Amino acid sequence: MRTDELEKLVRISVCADGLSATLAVQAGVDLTDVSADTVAALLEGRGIRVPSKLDESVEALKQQIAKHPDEEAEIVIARGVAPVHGKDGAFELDPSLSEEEGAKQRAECEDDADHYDRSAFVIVEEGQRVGRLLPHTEAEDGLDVRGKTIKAIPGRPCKIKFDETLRVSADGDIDALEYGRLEITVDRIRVQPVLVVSESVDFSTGNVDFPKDVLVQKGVRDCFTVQAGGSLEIVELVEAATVRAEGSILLRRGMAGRGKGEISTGADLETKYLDAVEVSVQNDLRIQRELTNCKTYVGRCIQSPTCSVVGGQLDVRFGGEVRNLGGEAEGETLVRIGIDPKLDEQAKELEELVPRVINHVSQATLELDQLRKMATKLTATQAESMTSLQFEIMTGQTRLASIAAGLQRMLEAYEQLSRCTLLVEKSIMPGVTIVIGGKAAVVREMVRGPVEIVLSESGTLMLRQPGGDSSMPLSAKAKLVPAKGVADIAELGRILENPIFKDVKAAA
Amino acid sequence: MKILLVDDSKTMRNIQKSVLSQLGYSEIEEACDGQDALSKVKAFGPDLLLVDWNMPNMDGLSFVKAYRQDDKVTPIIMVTTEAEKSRVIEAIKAGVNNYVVKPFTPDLLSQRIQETLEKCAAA
Repeated sequence: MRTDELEKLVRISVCADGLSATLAVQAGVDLTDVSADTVAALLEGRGIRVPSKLDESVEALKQQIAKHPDEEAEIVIARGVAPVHGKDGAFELDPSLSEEEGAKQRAECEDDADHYDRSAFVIVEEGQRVGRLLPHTEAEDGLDVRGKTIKAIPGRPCKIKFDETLRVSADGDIDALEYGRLEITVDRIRVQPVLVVSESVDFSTGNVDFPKDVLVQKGVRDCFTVQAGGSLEIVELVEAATVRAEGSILLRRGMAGRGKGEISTGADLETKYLDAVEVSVQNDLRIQRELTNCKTYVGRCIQSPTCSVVGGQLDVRFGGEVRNLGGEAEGETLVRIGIDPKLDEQAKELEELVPRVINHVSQATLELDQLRKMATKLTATQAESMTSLQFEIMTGQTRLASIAAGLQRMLEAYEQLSRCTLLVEKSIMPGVTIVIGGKAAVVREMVRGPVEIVLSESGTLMLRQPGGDSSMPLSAKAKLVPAKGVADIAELGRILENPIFKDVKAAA
Repeated sequence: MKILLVDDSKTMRNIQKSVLSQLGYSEIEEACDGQDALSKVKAFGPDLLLVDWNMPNMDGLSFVKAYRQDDKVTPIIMVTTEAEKSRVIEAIKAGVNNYVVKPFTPDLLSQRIQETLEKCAAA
């Protein structure tokens, strides 16, 4: 069969991408005497490159027609070469960090998972491998069935930028150079030394525990915990949560603890209000509006001239300034000034220790006296017992001398703390209990400010006009009551009056 | 300074150790009798010895005599209940440098130790 005859019996089509050409034959057409050369001439006539194994293709087509003579036959007669596009360079997260993420997601699906503890943040340590930089690959052009080049798209280098918080080695390993949160965006990866939580701390973030500064741009929901190794700032409301920072805490709104909230800071705390929260502040407390129904300890001063302290307990080591003490409802408000829990604990330990040591020394002295009286000529055992008793007495006396010095320092510290004052700008309401230097009084009649609450040198609770000489005993407006739960300074002083301490001093 | 305490009473050794540590000496070895002490002196090489007289196995005097055969210099203080003059002389003859009679106060022991060390340093 000639080429022009064949052309009328078959249909040759090239696919859109030019990578293959098919030859189709209608049913009933007989191609038994068509040679591969005829087909080759037909393809050349269409501008299609003749494949090397055309003979096999033509033979396969003939077999197809023979097998199904009543059906249209079709075969791929020529193939091009597909282009190989290059791959772009990319960042691959280290599997350990990916596993961490995976574990979090699995935990999310489990019934017993602690959803509060599930953190949404990837925290990396200094020197930790965070991932790998995959290099881009070269491209290889293709050819279509007509022999035309199909251009391949080359791979591009990774466009992600790594800042100075990461080190990229020559072989593509990426290590963190700082401790912090690994932040991955489309075009940038870095370790953030400040953890910025752009939403509220809730089930979407889990608890937050970060070794450096933390900024929560919204609030903190019930029962969640936020811990910062540095400072902590929370922009919106904190509910009955736990908030801790080794540095300062700034709550731009406040905290409604509902009796379950806790806040503690190793430095200062500044906020608008705190309600029903357990508060521990190592340094200064600054509140703009209210401190209501809180149990509060302030390690230095309360510097809150516009704040009302209503209900609860406020213990302040060095005094300070507030606007009001107590509320209209005459609820119980306990304000204790010059409180140092560590000192109180030491005082308690000494109070328990002193009688034991005194008893031990007295007992040894008594036994020694008895031995001296009993024996005219000592046996070896008696002599050794006496040596032992003398040693016990000496050791006890040395211990008592050191206790006496400690007690003296303690009394001086208490004396200093009892000189702290609290300035109240506007009013002290009935129902407020004030404790300074082991003296306590419950206010019965409203006291108008500005007024300073002080303990006089003679040990009387006084109300003093700030900057002036005018003062009056607090008992004029309050009922004096025994101070509970504070160290009894007078009792500590009486310990030193024990005659054994005089002997100790004389021996020293 | 290395000090060897030889006494069968643990309480006495503890008292002596406490006095020595107050004087600033912390390198202290203990022996519970003369035999035990003899087995330790070579390895420990003490600079001062405090020795009791009455002990089981080997008494203090026998130990001092045995020890002085090899070492005539290192000071020895006898700490004992044997207070009779003849006993003291016997001990001095055996090579004891100073003598503390039980019962003693920590201050007295401390004083004797210092006195002995000063004398030996001057010699």
